[in-house]
Amino acid sequence: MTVPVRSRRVGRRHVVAVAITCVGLAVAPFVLLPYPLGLLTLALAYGLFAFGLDLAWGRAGVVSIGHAAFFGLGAYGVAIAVDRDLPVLPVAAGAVAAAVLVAWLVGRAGLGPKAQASTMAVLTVALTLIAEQAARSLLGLTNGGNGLFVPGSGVVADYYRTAAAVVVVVVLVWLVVLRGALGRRFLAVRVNESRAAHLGIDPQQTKTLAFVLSAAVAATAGAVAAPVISLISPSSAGILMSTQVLVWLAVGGRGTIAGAFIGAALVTIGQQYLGDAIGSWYLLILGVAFILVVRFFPTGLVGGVLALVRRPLAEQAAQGAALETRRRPRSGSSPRDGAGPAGKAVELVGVVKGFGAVPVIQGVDLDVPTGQVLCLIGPNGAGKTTLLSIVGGDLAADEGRIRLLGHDVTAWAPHRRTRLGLGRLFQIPSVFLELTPRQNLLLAVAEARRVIELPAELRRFESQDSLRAQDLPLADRRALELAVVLAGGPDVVLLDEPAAGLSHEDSIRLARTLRAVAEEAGCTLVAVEHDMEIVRELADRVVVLANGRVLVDGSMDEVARHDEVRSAYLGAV
Amino acid sequence: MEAVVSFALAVLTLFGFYALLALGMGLIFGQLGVVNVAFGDFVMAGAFVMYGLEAVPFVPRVLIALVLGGALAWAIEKLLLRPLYVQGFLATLLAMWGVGIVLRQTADAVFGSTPASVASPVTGSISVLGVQYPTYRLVATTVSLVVVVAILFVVYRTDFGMRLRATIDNREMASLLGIPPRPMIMATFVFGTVLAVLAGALQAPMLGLTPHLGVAFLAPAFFAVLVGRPGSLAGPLFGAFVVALLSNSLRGLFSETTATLLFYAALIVLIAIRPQGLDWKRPQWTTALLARRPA
Repeated sequence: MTVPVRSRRVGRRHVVAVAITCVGLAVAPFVLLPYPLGLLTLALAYGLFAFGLDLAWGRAGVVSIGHAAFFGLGAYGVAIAVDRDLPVLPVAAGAVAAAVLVAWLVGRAGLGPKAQASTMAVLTVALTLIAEQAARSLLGLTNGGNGLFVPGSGVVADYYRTAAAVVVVVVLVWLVVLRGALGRRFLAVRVNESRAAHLGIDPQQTKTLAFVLSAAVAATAGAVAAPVISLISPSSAGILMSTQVLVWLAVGGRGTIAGAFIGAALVTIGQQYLGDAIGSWYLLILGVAFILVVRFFPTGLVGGVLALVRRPLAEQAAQGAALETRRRPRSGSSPRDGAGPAGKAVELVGVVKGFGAVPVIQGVDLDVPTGQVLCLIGPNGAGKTTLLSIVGGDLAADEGRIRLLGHDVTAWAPHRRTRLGLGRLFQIPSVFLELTPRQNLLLAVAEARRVIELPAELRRFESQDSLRAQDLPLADRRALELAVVLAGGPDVVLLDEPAAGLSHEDSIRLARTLRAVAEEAGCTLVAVEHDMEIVRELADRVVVLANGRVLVDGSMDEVARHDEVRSAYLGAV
Repeated sequence: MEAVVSFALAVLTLFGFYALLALGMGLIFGQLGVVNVAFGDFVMAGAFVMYGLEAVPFVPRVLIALVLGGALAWAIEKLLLRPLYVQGFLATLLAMWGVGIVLRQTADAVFGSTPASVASPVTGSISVLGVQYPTYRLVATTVSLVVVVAILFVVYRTDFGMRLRATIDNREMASLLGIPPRPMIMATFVFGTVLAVLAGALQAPMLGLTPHLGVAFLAPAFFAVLVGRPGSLAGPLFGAFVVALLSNSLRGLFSETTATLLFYAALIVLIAIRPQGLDWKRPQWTTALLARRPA
């Protein structure tokens, strides 16, 4: 597939923005009095903290409501090093490493394939509570509630050091992570986790990485902020700080770099000027502001301003990720290299699956030779979709083995099966609704196993960049899903009622496209279909499923002649 | 012997407290799909109402706290949560966290952050199997347990409870059978919140009240819901018992910090092993039980 490269990883406007920011930061000490300059220093450090949280929350959709635990770790690292006359940099680096380790452990536990998002929320609250309590009670190390003093080195020196650290960290993370493959995967996992997995992206690994990076940046921010805050007390790691950083980011606008810094700056500066006058009422007002933002302006200040600026839709939809890539697909795996010894693409042995007490699949054995187009038919409740989900990896079989292209994939997650060469289409088309059709394809191509030429019918999506996939009519959305799956270069494609909801002409055309895909690319297709005309058009072989068992297996004509099938299925139509 | 009795009493008292929390949290999650991260702050709010209205006699004061908590919950569900359900779980979670911030900061602004205490309505202690135990603790525990039993009775033995379980199980089907979903959602949220307020109000004389008191209860309450077999109301109760037992044992053996650390470590391990978390709806517990038979 040829995709014209339109925007590069680093565009001219990015360079201009960084240059202006650097110049602005460099001249600030010449125009600001010491007190506002000190405030700006603090705001920058806090902004970095919010930027760290944004990597998890704004970019990858991993919520953390106890992020100050990591900030505190970094801040205490510096404070303890100063207190004990240890070299500051190595100790701070150790603190960041500790944050990475803790975040990795928590991420492994809380971001597993079956874990709910709520789990992370509670784990992170627990984390910040532990951190605060540890800081309060480990008197020998942290001096308890009195805290540790970290001397600064003068307002201007502190300012330049902080600004330099912030610029370096933000630019590095932006360049390497957000504009790279990871940023793209964060976006994919956040927008549609299931589709991301079926493109070959490991959702758990991606989210854990986001969380770990986020913790590392937060700990770095803590280390940078320590001399600016000057008194490091348990509250630096506690629930109040964790809450504040959420407020900064929500108010400023998550998912944007500017939002993190503007939110932190506004709230921090406001607190210095208003906090003395109205005390704890200031935080109360912030709480109310937070609720209002969540309820009425989920994109925050920067998001609100950006919505007013006229930008190409594709740019809005990309949300800062660089989707255009020139990369060649991973490892030049040549076509059909993974086919099994006997040329079996899919092999099911004694597959059993039940939901609670309800048996759905009651022992299915099925071989699909490479290149065959197999249609699964059967009455409602026969277990067709369940069987497809078991092959796709979305459901685990209770018993039996699943072999795919010569590998035993019974215990594999969907993304591993996808990387092996499986493509899956769902009954309700699963695409990245927030992105444009072209961006959907770009994501698929970026993760693709090999470059393939899309069927002419589907090539129109390659240039469709001015509307979001959610605005496509159903037939187009289904076609887009097919294009996305095919762009991944699969050897086996699973389709769940590809013609459902399509007009007669559309579905016949779709069947011909699929037929062409199978014949030209040598793809093995397994399709669940109800429309007998489509089945006749499409299938090499038809398998009738009834009550979770294979009833008949043969050509369309054989199946149509079969009495049991008539009574179980065709007669009921 | 005495050590065993006093340990058992301490576990029982903590169990009564966490049973109310776990039931309330489990109900709200099951019905609304909302992880109420402000749950602990409602406990704190209940306790601070007891502190703020010290002039009113104890029992009416508890009732006032319940009414205020219920009214607040009503307003939150109607004005804040209802428009956010469609935006998904993260939006409601953050909204509740916002509610938590406001509750904490209100308490901080009004009462300050120095620990406050509420006088116990009954003083003295009674002897239980040779152990002197504060009378009020026994009273509070008994009241909690009676409330828990009453809830179980309502949920499993009344018409209302049947509707409640029906909407939790399958809201769409229940509404097709004529059970209006909105009032049920509202009722569950208000009721669950009132349980947190009740727990706070009853516990108030045993606590040092600070505005940040409630956050510490969030993780244990969640833990309790998590431990129990998902899908049954008895699950969170079993979980609450485990939490009470674990928490008292750890505190008896280790320092405060180590105990907390070990407790949360257990929480992380549990979530790693049992990631389904607060899953209430999916496996019907009866069918899950049947499925366990060897096929």
